[in-house]
Amino acid sequence: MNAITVSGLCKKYQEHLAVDHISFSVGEGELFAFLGENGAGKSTTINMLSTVLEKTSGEASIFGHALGKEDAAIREKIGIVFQGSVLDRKLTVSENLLTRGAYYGYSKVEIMKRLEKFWEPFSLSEIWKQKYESLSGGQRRRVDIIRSLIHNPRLLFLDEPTTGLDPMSRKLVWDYVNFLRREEGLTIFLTTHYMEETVDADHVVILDQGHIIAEGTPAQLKAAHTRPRLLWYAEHSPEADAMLAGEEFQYQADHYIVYPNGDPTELLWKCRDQVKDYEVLKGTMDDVFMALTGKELQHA
Amino acid sequence: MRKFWGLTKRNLLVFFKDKTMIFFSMLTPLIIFILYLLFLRGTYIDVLESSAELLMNAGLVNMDDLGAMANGLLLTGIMGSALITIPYNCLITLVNDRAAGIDVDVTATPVSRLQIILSYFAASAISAVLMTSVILGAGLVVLQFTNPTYLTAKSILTLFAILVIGAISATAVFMTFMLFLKSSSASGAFLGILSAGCGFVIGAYMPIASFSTAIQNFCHLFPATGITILIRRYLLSDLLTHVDANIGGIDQGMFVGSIQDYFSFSPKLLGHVLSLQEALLYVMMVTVGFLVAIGIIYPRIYKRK
Repeated sequence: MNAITVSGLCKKYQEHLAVDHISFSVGEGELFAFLGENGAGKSTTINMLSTVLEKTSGEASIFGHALGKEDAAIREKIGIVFQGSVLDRKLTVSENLLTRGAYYGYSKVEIMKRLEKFWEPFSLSEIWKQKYESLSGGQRRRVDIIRSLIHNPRLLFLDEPTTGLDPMSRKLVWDYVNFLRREEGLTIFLTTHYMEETVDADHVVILDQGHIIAEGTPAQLKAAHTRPRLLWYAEHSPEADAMLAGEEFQYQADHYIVYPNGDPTELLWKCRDQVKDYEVLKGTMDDVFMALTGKELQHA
Repeated sequence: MRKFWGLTKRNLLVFFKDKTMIFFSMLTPLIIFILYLLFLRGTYIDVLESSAELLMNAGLVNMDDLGAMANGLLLTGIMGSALITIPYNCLITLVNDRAAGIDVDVTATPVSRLQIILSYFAASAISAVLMTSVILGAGLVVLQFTNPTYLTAKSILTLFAILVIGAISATAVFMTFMLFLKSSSASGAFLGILSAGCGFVIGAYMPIASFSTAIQNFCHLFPATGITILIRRYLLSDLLTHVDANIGGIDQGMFVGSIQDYFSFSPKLLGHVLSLQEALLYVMMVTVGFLVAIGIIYPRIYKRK
């Protein structure tokens, strides 16, 4: 059974179509990434799938439960890390987590038992008695993730979980996410505008202005929408330019960037006597996005 | 039930952990107390003294009794206003959660919509009952040590019962309006109007009897006014009974009657005097009416479209 099945899902705000007839499916246990700029419709889609926003039209189901008809059953099975924090700033971490656990009908003893598995890997004891507002950005995200998992959901929505975090905190968040995939076998639905974060995804959907413009594994997308680059470190010279005639290339700082028309190894073989220092770079998700939309995504 | 209590506990914690909210919920009672220290006590004592001049000269009424009456009127004003501003401030959590988008954290959980709205309601009513109980308890102790109040256990229990009904009715009325408020600034602006106006409507700043008949009728429409009048009546009834007994019927109950008329000891509805039962029935009917309105309005508002 698919974790998520979406067919022709739409969200319209007056005349603005924020999500335009999108269809996709997410297999159980997958890391599914929604890639797109701000305003592409990523959060709107998550909010619809997590039952907090009404869909305008289309169908969707979560673990076989129809969205809009079996929302209560859906809510039992999902956890969400929202883009902005939704925990109470004036309350301590323990107060936040214990009250949230009660939302799912658990007693304090049951909640504490559920939290045991996070105690060590998420260093929960360090921050247990601290007020949420006194935590760093990374620590807050850590608590947000624990809060979303307190009821053992089968599907976790992560809505731009690393936006605004420093590189160290981002790494920690991803360590936690990878821990959850490894240890819990969770299905993860990730939205991001950081292309590097989609590299490990099982499936990537690229959204632009509410439309799905491409989807596939990162490797499939790169193969379909990018070309490998050859970086040749050499002096800029007419001889070298002549050697690259017929290829798309440019000179930058101390190297040529060549986009070979064919296999880069053939070009390297042809120029083997001159080319001493080189790199062959495969296309990135950034290149995929650029090729598809003509826009650049943000870098972390 | 655990889901409901979990959310109620969260709403209570959010309110009680926010010192600013606590301060603003006690601002009007504090203003009434300061006004009392500045001039209200003097005004009350002057009115009471002028009404009891002959009886005082005859040694039938003493200053201790008049002081106890003035203090009782102060405590009534504090209680009446606290029963308005405390539930309102606690309900600001409802508006803030919505304005900050925090409510999605609950709406995306299996907690039912009914439990969500009831938890805000319960937290507001509980916070009002808790805080006003503390104020009433402390006030009664202070009153008793300042001048004897002659309060019986029955009157004290009745006061606490009135306080519970007052907290519930104020919560129902305010929640209905607050469902329409979408920003913290809107709820803050309304709080300003409420803080300034409620002292007049419930007769804490000046007796309702000093207003024109039309304004009096308007003030009596509010359940909070009826509740404040009932608090005043049960807080001072034993004292007035004691004073009346001391007078011994010489004035045929005129002194106590004039005090009860001037300071409004009887709830009214469009000029008609209500008994305790009728007053409570009116308050409860208004409360149920607003609860029904909440039940109709909330499901239409909670879902984000």
